Amino acid sequence: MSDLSKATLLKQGAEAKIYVIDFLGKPCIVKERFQKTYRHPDLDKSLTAQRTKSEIRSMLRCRTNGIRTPVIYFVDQIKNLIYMEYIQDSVTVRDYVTAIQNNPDGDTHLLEALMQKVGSTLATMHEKNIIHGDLTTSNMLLRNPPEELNLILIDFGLGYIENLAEDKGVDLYVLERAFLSTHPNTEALFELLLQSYAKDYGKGAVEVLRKLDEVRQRGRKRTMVG
Amino acid sequence: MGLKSYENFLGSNLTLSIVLYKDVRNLSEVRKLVIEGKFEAALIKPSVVVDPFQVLVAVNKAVHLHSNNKKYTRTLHSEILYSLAPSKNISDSYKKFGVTDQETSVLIVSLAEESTKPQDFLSVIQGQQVALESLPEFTDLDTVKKVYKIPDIELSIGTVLEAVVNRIASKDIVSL
Ligand SMILES: Nc1ncnc2c1ncn2[C@@H]1O[C@H](COP(=O)(O)OP(=O)(O)OP(=O)(O)O)[C@@H](O)[C@H]1O
Ligand SMILES: [Mg+2]
Repeated sequence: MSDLSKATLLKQGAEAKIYVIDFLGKPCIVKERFQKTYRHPDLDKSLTAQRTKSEIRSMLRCRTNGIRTPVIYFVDQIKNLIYMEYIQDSVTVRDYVTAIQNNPDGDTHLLEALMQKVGSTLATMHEKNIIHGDLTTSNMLLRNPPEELNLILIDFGLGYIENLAEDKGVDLYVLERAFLSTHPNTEALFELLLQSYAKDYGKGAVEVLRKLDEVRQRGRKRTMVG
Repeated sequence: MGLKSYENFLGSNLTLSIVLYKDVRNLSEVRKLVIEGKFEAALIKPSVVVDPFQVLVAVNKAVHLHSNNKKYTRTLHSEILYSLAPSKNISDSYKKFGVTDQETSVLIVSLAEESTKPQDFLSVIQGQQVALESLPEFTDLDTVKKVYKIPDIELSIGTVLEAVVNRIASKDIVSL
């Protein structure tokens, strides 16, 4: 396929480089997981291949269950590249929340509605036993205009299929930690997210939220000791 | 009129041609020429194609596997047909996506070097060329949804084309 050395680099993440190209007439990004020099090359190769597969599997499963993810255009399993729809006209939930919080006239109703949307989307995701593995507000996009709450989940490289409440609880815990540290004073907002999650998940939610509590306590103990 | 071509497809020295025909009277003859290898092309049922982009995605994949010696089928053109299908079953893919003698419309896809013009092949076809833009008139959406196993919920967040493309691109990794 196309030569990435000539492509525009959009983002350099912790795991991957994101390039922008034109894929047969459509705006496209190419996600290239780069080598980690501290890992043995063979292990690195198999881990990268595994992440690529996990990402594709979870994205497909999301879509077939009504959760928006970018459309996959092509997977190069030799170079471990994922070609997917470029959600061009979008903002990350992280930037959107920050913008509203920093704006003195920021509309808190918008934030509340967003939290509900995220909560109910994650409820659907977990109901279908999809564990994201790296839930952060950078891994959620909102198509413009963001008020329409067209939420798109990305970055499923650590995703997997599992129906254990424990794994779902940990998934939420990861998001909670990331959320509260990225967006200060949002405890109440996060609570809204969890309420909406519980409401839409149905009866399995109690178990997941109990696990979330357990994981929180474990986390606290660890920080007290360490 | 109806011939759409992409020169230097994906940076190669190959030209991709896509043509749509209706009211074809000699499809069995045309198929025979392709099966015997006299002409290199994929003869696709237009009823299972929603948009030319669907074909482009399948061709891209077939070319990639071909140039890395990882094809699942014998030729580049049979690989295009197989890539188009969501199933890993090769004969089933041919059956669902390849034209039969009974059909009267056909989408012809051919990837060839500049020197071999598709015109020679096309002159054999007794039928009417139609603009590629009218492809949707030939699509049978119910069949597409069934063949690609697209649930209604998926169409609440995306198009049929998106659902189809997603499956073509990920078929080696995820079997539905
Ligand atoms: N399909 C897409 N459309 C638009 N922007 C995207 C898309 N995919 C990724 N991005 C942008 O690139 C960033 C990094 O992508 P991604 O999270 O998939 O890679 P990553 O290397 O795991 O990143 P990180 O380590 O920062 O989480 C996203 O936060 C987003 O801003
Ligand atoms: Mg990320």
